[in-house]
Amino acid sequence: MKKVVNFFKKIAISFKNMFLRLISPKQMKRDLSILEEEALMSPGKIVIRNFFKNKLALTGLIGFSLMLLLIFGMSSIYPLDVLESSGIQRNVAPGYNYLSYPKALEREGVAQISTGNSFSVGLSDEGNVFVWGLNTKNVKAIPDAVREANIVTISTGSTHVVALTDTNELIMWGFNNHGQASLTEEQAATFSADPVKIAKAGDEYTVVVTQSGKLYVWGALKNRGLDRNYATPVVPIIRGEIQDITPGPSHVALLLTDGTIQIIGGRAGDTLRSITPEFSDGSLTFVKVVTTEYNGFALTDDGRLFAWGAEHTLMTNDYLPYNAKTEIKDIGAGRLHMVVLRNDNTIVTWGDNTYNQLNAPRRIAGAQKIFVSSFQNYAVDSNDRVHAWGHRGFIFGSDERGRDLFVRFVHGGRITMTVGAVAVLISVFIGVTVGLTAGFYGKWMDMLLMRFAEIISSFPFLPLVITLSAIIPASITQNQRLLMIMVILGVLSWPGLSRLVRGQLLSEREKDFVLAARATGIKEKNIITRHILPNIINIVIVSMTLGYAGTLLTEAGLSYLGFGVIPPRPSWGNMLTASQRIEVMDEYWWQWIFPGLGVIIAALSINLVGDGLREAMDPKANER
Amino acid sequence: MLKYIIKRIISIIPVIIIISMILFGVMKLMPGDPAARMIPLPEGAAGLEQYQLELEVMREKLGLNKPIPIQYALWIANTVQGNFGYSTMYKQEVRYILGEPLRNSIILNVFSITCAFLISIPVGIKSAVKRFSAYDTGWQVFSLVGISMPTFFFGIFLIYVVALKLGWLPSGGMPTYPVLSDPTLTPQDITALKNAYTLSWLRYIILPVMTLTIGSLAGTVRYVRNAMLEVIRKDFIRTARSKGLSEKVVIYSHAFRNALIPVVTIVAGSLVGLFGGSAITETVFAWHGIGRVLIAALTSADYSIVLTMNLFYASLSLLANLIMDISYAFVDPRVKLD
Repeated sequence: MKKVVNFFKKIAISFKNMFLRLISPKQMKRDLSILEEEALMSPGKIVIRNFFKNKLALTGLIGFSLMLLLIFGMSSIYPLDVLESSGIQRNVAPGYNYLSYPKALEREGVAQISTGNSFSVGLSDEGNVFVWGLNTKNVKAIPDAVREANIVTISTGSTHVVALTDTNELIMWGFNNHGQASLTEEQAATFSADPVKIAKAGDEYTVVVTQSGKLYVWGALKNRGLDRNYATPVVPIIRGEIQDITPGPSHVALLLTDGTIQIIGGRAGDTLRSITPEFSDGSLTFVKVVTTEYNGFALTDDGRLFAWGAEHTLMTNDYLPYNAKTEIKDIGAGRLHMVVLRNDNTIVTWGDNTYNQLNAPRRIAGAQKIFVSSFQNYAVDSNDRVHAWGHRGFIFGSDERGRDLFVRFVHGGRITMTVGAVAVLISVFIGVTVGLTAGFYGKWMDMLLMRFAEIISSFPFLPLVITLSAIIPASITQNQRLLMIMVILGVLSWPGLSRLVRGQLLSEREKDFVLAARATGIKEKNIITRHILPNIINIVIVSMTLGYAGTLLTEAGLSYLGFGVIPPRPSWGNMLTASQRIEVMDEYWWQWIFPGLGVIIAALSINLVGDGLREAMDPKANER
Repeated sequence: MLKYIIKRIISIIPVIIIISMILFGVMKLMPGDPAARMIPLPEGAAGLEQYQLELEVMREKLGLNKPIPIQYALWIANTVQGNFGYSTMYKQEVRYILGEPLRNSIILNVFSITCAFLISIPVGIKSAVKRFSAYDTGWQVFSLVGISMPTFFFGIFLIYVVALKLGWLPSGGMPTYPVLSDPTLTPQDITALKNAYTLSWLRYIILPVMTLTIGSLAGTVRYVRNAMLEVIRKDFIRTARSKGLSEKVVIYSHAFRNALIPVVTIVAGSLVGLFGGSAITETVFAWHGIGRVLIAALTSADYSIVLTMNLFYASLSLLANLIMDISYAFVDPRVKLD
């Protein structure tokens, strides 16, 4: 017991000295004479001192610690939902500025804010248009015509913007892959004869209503149920005059002047299309209609809210929050969430909260207006101050399935680092055991084990690892597979270390200090454990560190080829696999550069630590 | 000398037999029935009986019905005769498949290893001689980053910058050999076509060679530098200097020749490592080499190819060890081979 206490005391003292030295190295030196210092410094302490003197090694240690902290800390904060996907957020570039609205907009007074895929457009009371967020499809390039004209309304689709001027002219910019942001000559002629009254933008399509009450839709209409040639006016199915239109992901909700609602478009089996008669028979008078991806919401003139649509989102009539049923002033819908402004100027939110869409700031003092779309929300309070909440953006971008790459990065890192660490521990365990056994017993045991090591090491490493990983049966679970990979990597990489350990053991055994120890009558067992092993541990630690960097790289390569960790579970290696598709490599650089940098930084800091340890432990390195 | 070589070759034989046994055992663990891959699945229940029959015949033909030791013996006997089995993926004899990929891989690797050592030997010497200079530090940093970077990531990066953004070189693949059988072609046309083919071939090989070179350069520069540092501190270097020899003679004649011994080891070693490691680089650049064939064979469970390839890799590494041992004697007269 006393021995243990002493041991901890010694460690405590050495740590104290270590930090003292960091703070005032000269102070420490002056305190000790040469003889004292020599008497005080155990080999272990010298190693620690040398290591901490080495700035590069220290940088490596700090870098590695930060990396571990980031990966293990963040991965426990953000849970990994391997299959999580939101269609519209596919292949989004890195950014964290979706909510950073310009102050000028706040100063000039907010007339309207509309949010697209990864950007928002604001219209001020003075008629100026602002765009913030990512410059997706060049939406930040506001046409000159916008500045010259007097804009009345703006509307954003997923990737394009539609603005309507006071002279009923359409100005459109952004992504134009389906012609949604441009007019054909025919359309231009039609609209000059019959000016546009209402203009809205949907997901890659544009929908307008003209003065004469005709509805026109153009852009990407396939698979949306909108392709029944709505480009020609769709008067027949609409009885009455259109008051407002709300474009959804696959349908358009129409509010007529008589206060009834109609839905056009929608995919087959879309429950949003089936509205009950009360919405369209005139028994209720609606003033606003909004839609999320799966549900519709309509507000009556007496402030009551009605909902319909898919049940699985738990957003139909039965699930309305108790304080969102009556006395409602305004409503707004995002992709998967709802926001209402009550008559008492408080805000109620419900629905999906993946991107913090529901976490409205508590400090909003009497909200006057709300603007809700996509995953972002803006509210203007009674002091004309803007409050924003919701999706800020993906720091590392998103992948082709709309998954947050930062979350995948930290979880992938955790798996890569863990696989590497366990593999190295296995390899060190086997290497040291074999090396020591061969060295101690010698003779036929040495011969046998070293032949075996030679056979293992004469397989080229990577092809054999790939081959072995390929024969892992597909039926086992992901965790068992991870374990198998760790074992394969560990079992194939020990021969080098075993040779090193054996060689070191043999050479240490012949040294004078062992002879001296023997001469003083110390037991053979103690000679081995107290005198020889400490000299071997040095090389084991160094080779363990450098081997760790090696296994990290091997795991990355293996998973890159598809033989290691298999998606949807992330690892840095299999995240890099995305680069095998040329369009990802060319356009979506963030999908492969971050995991690549992760591997490099992790391996580099580990190598720096390993080099530092080697130099600290090797007395020959000291004189360099 | 000859006696030593013969002795070493004989000592390789048991090793290669054990390796082949392990490999054969591993292959037997591979999932999937190779016979089933050879015949198309029956359409509906009607063809099932016929299918079973065909399966039996195919198993018989491939020798899968026999006990595993006999299968092994047959395989070894065939392999020794140069008959590596039948590829279920290519529906062809393995020996007819591997020729071209092997040639491509050898060219790629020999190119890379030559570049790597042409650069790393002078750089390593200069770094060691001018230790702690800016030159040395620069290369040290380079090699540290180099060994910490997955080679294929550098390849991806090169494709992104050089091929996609700058558009200077193709991003991957290989040129197709021109059709020369057209009777209307004049001999001049044929030469021109052949030259154009060689030229485009060079354009395709630059990026993979760069990737592999940088990948092995990091390690070799470090190695040559350390070997030189070790030697430079020896007494005979001081003696040579004190004799008044010029620095050039001291470094290149006295020091470098002694530093060559460890360097030779790594040349042979890195050749094997490159062959193995180039599998990933070949995948990145869609280079039709043996590494890529191995990966394709693994994904489609074509185990004749996998077996042949692994045996090839193992023999290559044993051969490299042999060459390494022998070359010791050439670079270092002190080494006695007995």
